[in-house]
Amino acid sequence: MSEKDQMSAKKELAIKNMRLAIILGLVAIGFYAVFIIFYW
Amino acid sequence: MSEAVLHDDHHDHKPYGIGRWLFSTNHKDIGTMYLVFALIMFFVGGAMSMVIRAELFQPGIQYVDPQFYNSMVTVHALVMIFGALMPAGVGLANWMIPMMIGAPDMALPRMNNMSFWILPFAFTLLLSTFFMQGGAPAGGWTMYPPLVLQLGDGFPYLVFAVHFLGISSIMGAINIIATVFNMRAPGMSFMRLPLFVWAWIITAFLLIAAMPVLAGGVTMLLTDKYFGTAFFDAAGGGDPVMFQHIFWFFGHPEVYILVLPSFGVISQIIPTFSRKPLFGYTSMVYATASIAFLSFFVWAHHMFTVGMPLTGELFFMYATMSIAVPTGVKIFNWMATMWKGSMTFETPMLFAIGVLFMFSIGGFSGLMMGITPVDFQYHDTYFIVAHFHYVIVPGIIFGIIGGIYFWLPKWTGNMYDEKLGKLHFWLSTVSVNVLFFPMHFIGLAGMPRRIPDYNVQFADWNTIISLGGFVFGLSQLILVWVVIKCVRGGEKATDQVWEGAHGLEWTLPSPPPFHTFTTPPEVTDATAHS
Repeated sequence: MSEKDQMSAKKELAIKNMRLAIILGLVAIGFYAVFIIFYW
Repeated sequence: MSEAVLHDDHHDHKPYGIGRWLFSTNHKDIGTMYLVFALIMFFVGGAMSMVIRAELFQPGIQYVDPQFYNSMVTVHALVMIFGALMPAGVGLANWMIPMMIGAPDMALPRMNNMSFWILPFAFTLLLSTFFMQGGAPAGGWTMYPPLVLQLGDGFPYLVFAVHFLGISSIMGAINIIATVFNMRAPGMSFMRLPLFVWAWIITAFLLIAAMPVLAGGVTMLLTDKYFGTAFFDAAGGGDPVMFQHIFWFFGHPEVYILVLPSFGVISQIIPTFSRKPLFGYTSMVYATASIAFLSFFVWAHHMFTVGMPLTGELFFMYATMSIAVPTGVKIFNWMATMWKGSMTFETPMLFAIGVLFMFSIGGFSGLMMGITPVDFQYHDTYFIVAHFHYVIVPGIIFGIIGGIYFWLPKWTGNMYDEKLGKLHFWLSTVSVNVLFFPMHFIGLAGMPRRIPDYNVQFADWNTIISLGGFVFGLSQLILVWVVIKCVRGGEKATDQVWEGAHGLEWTLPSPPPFHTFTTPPEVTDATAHS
């Protein structure tokens, strides 16, 4: 694999990781917010 | 040594000084920081339990006033659960998961750094309450209103500390999920993952589902106290019992958040020292997932005495009993792994067998308490204290300690002192039983928990219990000495360390280079755990 390909694979992995982290973070924040709103 | 590992050696540039630790994004360094932090908190929480046992050594008030005693009970629990057990599990996960799945590091290294450094900050908030008007939290770690709302200036500090701990745990959980889902080496399919990794994936999902509920509950406490809401205030149309439901909806999965990583550790140790593959790998994975799933449907067994409809009591009783099934599957599989194995009994294996026996004692007393009518007898007595301490100390702490002995040669490159390790195990095992087993008797006889004084009929057992407690506390210093001695030197460990060890982490040198698996390894059946 050329250096350029390696860099782009790394970047792609970083984006994938960030996307999953954001989704899971939103799920957690969603639980928290919905929970309080539910009991409001 | 593989070509990939040799390649990694050339890139082993370690940063130096305090910056290495403050700004670290390396999973091994962050793992070490988590473990050291957990050990410090273990001794802080342990010191509080020594105060409790000194006070209970004899009937009557001896050393501390009841308010301070209640603070000791409350903060001991918070420090041990959130400061010692959870960070210790995350520390092991940080060290081992990337090496086990063939990843160069955690998926989100900067977030990893942040989730660790939140912890000292959160515990500074929590422990600073000892120096505030009204003292430290004293209403129990469960923070039930209206009692908790009577806390003085320390109340918002408690609430914010819990929020920060929750944020830290959730960030850690997200990191673990992202690492395992996205960064496995080629060939490392989900059903080839080591059981420790599986245990942590499931724990991470539990954390994401349970921690926001606790955070929501304590936010509502905060708004009740300072912003005029009445979520839990009966006078304003609220319901204090609702908090108990909310708390235990978090609290019961929390038990499994603590215990599943310990189960993961012993699932690595037992096959290694039995020199056999783990029996029933697939059923272990499904059993772990089933335990986690069921843990969301049993919360009200903590509050049978509060009062609930008969159908509710029956539902929660049967749901609680049903958790024994997947737990039984796990215990059976560990025993079947040992069956006809070529077993040896090095310190990690002793601790793993200790978990197996003594966690089962805690599990069985849990089944007893799950039976609604008899729980009315046990509720708020020392029987409960005996039960959950059997689950937590020999069930979870022994698992973590077993993991430390198991992986210490890999981390440091040196073998630990086996004689001292065994001494640590036997002293801990004898003293932990002297400490917690008689609590069943005094609990059944009616001694209430969270009270600094007691009837003279309980005096003899309490003296024995306290002596067991002091010996257990002191014997943990052996662990510290073993770790220090091992870090400083000793017989060199091989790469595989243990004869029966299998998996990617054992293909790395001992100690592993600062950066590992920058070139992903190819995983085959021969190198996979299962």
